[in-house]
Amino acid sequence: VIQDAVLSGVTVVDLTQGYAGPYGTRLLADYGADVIKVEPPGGDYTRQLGPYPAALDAGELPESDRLELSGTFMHLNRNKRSVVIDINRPGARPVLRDLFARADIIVESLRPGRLESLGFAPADLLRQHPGVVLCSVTPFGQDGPYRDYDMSELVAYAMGGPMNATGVASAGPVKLVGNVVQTQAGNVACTAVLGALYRARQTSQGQHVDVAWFETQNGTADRRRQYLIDYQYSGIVTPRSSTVGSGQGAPGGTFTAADGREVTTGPVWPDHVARMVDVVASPRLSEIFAAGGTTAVLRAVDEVNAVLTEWVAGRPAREAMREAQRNGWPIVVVNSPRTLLTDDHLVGRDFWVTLEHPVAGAVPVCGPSWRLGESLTGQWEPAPTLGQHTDEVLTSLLGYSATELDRLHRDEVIA
Amino acid sequence: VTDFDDQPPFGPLAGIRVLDLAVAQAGQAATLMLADLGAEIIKIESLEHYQSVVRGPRNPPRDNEARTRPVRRNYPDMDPGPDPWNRLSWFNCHARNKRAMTLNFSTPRGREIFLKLVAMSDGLVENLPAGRLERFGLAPETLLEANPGFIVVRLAPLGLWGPDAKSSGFGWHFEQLAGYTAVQGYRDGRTVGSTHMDGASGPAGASAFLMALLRRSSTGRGGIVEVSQLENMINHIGDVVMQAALRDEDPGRLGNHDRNFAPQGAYQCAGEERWLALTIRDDDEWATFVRLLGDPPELQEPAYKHVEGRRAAHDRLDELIAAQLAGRSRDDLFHLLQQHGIAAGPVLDEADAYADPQLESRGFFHPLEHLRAGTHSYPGALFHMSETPPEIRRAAPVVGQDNDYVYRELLGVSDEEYAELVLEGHIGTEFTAPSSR
Repeated sequence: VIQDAVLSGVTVVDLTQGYAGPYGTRLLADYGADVIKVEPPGGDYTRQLGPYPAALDAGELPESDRLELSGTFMHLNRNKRSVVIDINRPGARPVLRDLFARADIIVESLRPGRLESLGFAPADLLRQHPGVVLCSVTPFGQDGPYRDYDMSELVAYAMGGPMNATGVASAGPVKLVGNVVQTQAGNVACTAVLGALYRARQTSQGQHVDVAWFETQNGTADRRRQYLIDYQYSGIVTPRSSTVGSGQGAPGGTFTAADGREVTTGPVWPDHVARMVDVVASPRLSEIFAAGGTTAVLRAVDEVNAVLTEWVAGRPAREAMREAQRNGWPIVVVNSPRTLLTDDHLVGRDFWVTLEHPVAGAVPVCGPSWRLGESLTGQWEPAPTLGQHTDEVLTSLLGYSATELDRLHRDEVIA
Repeated sequence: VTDFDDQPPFGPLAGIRVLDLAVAQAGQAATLMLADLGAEIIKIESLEHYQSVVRGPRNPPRDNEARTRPVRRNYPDMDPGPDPWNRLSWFNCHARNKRAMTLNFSTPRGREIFLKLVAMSDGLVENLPAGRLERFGLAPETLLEANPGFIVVRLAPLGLWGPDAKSSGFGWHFEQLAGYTAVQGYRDGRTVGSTHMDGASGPAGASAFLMALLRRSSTGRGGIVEVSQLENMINHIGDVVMQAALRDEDPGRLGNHDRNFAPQGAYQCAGEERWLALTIRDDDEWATFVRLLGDPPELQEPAYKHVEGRRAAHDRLDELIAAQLAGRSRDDLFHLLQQHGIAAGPVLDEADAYADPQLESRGFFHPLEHLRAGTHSYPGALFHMSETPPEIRRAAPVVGQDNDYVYRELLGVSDEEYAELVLEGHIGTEFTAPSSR
């Protein structure tokens, strides 16, 4: 169904909630895997996190559908099927057992040890299903002194990432936007699972993959890995300073264009000075450049910024970007989440995918994280409603009879 | 010095060979993950094209000035040495478990050798400036002719096509274009740059390669894989973007606050730069938190019992909590709160991380002896695997360290030909080119 569908025929039983695990399994789903999301009766907790459509506030959508309308849930769970199983009930065990028996991949984010207490110790699961790839995605991993500790997005960045170095010295350390740390952990889990799946296909041997957010951050290319080695090499702990893109010490920065949008030059890089002088074609700037070269331009911060302010103000933002980029001077338009939705480049690449949500109607969601073919083809499904596929999966995949389904519903094992 | 020699391949990708033409951190983080999965990664560098985005400044400062410390700390003992490119932290941090060869593929002979390598390899990861491969007659289509099963992963910042695909820039440009800067930073509006794109692109590039490899095992065909780093990054803030999609709103900069949970923040404890981060996720956790702090009266405001009240008074609560935590032990509080189910954790600096009992217990760090940098402790793999555990076999290679292996063992080059290739500037350990930047 999905573009190229490299993972079609792969069945994933997904017992994850939140951001990390669900992003990892969404990546599998986007590329064709049949991801069966096992939710508790109250649903994945991101169903309660929103953001919710404005129409819900306005009373135009029923309050009873709130759990179906969380934007976070929609983003992380499209292309999956939802099956509600109350895993705390004894009657759930055979259902889980049957689901696991059909799985190529099992991904879980339960508290470490919980799978064991449900009767599915990883070693037993692998003995029963030697070919299965079982992946646990948890804050600290499956062992060690912090095994039973928990993390939020903030704590994950604090303990794992370069948060000590993020921000300015005069204020406290500050987190990154949204839930990017957990998202990155989810992508790491996806990578390790794909590696294990590749091997399972060659050797028929599966294994247990253990991904800890804590480690995905301490090894991240988002500078933590480098800063750790900097410390090993020099004994210096990275000071907190936000010089990235701040434009300190060089001309450049953010300027407003004729259409009210902003562009950013960043701090102008020495290699780009001559190109900037050509593009802007300001007599005053050319004069400074002719007299003192690149160094003189980089020193004349106020004068150059005045020239740039005027130049950018004379054209629409996108035009400024293109004029500069054509001449090898990197300028980009500044986007916010709202302007991303209409960004010329993203729209030109068909990045946004509009899905017809059964309750919310047409909703744009992010396109694929990477592309294995030339363009998007095929049909994407919106995030499932709670338990939308319970009966379908238990009937068609597990072969349960109507009588069995009735019994499981009555016993509140499934919903 | 541990090495690959005489050790059998390990990992799920044992026997897979990937050529690494990645520059900067993003692409090289992707090949790092493939290396930890057991693929043989061969980094290809040209002695005649010094790439400062890979090997650092050609002539880093060698003074003792405070202002040059941020650069000098990238080198062991803050000494760049005679060959700074071999001693650079931001190369050595990701290049462990990889091999390095030298080859100038901008010459006809270099191109021919490159195509031979393509024929005996499984893929390539690159994030060169747009059009660079094509300029050297090495367009992906050409590579696929040489080896139909070859996988070309292209981490192009804006993708390979589209209205602005040819645009260039640094990470901070793309962060602005991806909408990050508009929503990242302090609540007072000050933005904070980051380099999350590099952290995001590594696993994206590695996953994309693996998907193409899985496809190849059923179709026999390789192909081109496109990772638009911008689009991947937007996916990482997809939950924030949904606020725009569903409500036509821009969330603005929340600092350490969260849209749902309150309070959430990082608070200064006893000592210098000892911060404790914590998130109270529901009303019960709040009650526990207040009790563990000894029921301070100022936190007992009835309005604070419910999350709506705490959200409304968040700035005030930040002050009150900061006052409570000031002077207390960060690490004692960390354990106390965690033992009661509250997600709290110290803001660990680099020294803290190396002393952390969890990372120690899980064997995260690995001491490695580097030929030109000495012995240091390096971060290990980002995942554990029960049957094919990642191995960290050797430190980052110095320039041309694996020339003998690649030219003699893989390509079967004769002594005579090898000597010619040295003379022609393909094989060597010293850069001849001035810095490109």
